[in-house]
Amino acid sequence: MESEVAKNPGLRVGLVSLCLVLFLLLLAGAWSLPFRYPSESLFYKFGYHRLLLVSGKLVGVTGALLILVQLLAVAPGLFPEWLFSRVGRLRFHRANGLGLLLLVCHPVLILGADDFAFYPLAKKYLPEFVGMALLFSLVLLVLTAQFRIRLPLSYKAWRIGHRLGALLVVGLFLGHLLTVSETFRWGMPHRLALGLAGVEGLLLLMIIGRAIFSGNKR
Amino acid sequence: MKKWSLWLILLLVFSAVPARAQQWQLDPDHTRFYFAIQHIYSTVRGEFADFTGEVAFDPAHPEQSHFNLVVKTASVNTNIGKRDTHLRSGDFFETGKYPRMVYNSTKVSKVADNRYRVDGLLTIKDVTKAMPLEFVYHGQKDSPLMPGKIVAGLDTGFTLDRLAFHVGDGKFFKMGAIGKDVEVLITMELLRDK
Repeated sequence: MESEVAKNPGLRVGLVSLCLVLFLLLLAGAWSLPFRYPSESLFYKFGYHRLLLVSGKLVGVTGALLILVQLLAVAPGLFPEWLFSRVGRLRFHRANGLGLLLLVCHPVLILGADDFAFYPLAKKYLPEFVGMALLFSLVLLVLTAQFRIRLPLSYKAWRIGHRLGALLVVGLFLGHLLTVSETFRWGMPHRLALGLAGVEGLLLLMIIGRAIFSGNKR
Repeated sequence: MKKWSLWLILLLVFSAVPARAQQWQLDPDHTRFYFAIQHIYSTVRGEFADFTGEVAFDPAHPEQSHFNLVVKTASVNTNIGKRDTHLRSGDFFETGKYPRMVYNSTKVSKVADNRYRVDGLLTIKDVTKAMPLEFVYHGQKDSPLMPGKIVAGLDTGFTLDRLAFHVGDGKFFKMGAIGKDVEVLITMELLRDK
């Protein structure tokens, strides 16, 4: 296969296009969730407030998908380097990381749908606070990756921090996803969320496993 | 004779000064501002957990009593976070703009054995309306739990039209989703030093 792809650049373009189509199909599926399985809060929103809430939800599910893509991009062995070069994958990982900053809009849109009625400190808002912690960790992770050279850290120290940060982000993301909306508490979306949790857990194990067994050489 | 005259003058002076009603503090753990409202067929119950109050109440001298109660609208709690956020939004309480609901009594009078009528003004959002309340006075006694304190109990219940106070513009009411009449129950334990 490797030699066939090397000989035929058209095949490489075809395989990359297939990945893109798969991503777009997944995105379309994710975007359909808030409409096919609407949360009760949507029933109480009209006009501009509804538009904000729906937009917030769409940004949220897009972010969820980008987190999955982010893990897929760096998981060992999933995308062979003859298909996506190592440099290309890392470039993609960085660009996708910047794309994740889109999630900053998520709480703004969701809060905007309720006229920015902020959450008081109460146990019932734990999923929302988990979401805030997630966003903070995510932004920190992306910014420290983008401006790594300016940090007073060795590459090795930064990479350990980056991986631990990624672990935290994925943990917070799954906690937020499974608790924040009724959409993901029952039925098909719940099963999908659990499946996503399983896949991401597996990808993390692969990434951490490689880091441990390769002796952190890369 | 001179000494007796002095005592007589002092007695007259002090009896002329109106007695002040007893000042009480709300026991925050045992004072509650509950509400109930119809949602299609079921009844949603909730409460406001954050409030302050200045209460002077003397059952023997109700005319010297007053009730000034302040409820923080952001403390609305129906045990469902998303619903409470919606209640804090512009669709209902608009808590950013109107953080408090206030009740100030103007007159307290006795209507029956243990019943007191409190006339006063209720302000919710940008609307102030006269709101007479009838309190049931349960009595007062030494607190069985807090030595050195006297505890008194008062309850009132009433119904108000939330739309008259601009809590909602009526769209959910017209849809048949959320009622406009809100049943309110205020139950208070008041404390003062012995």
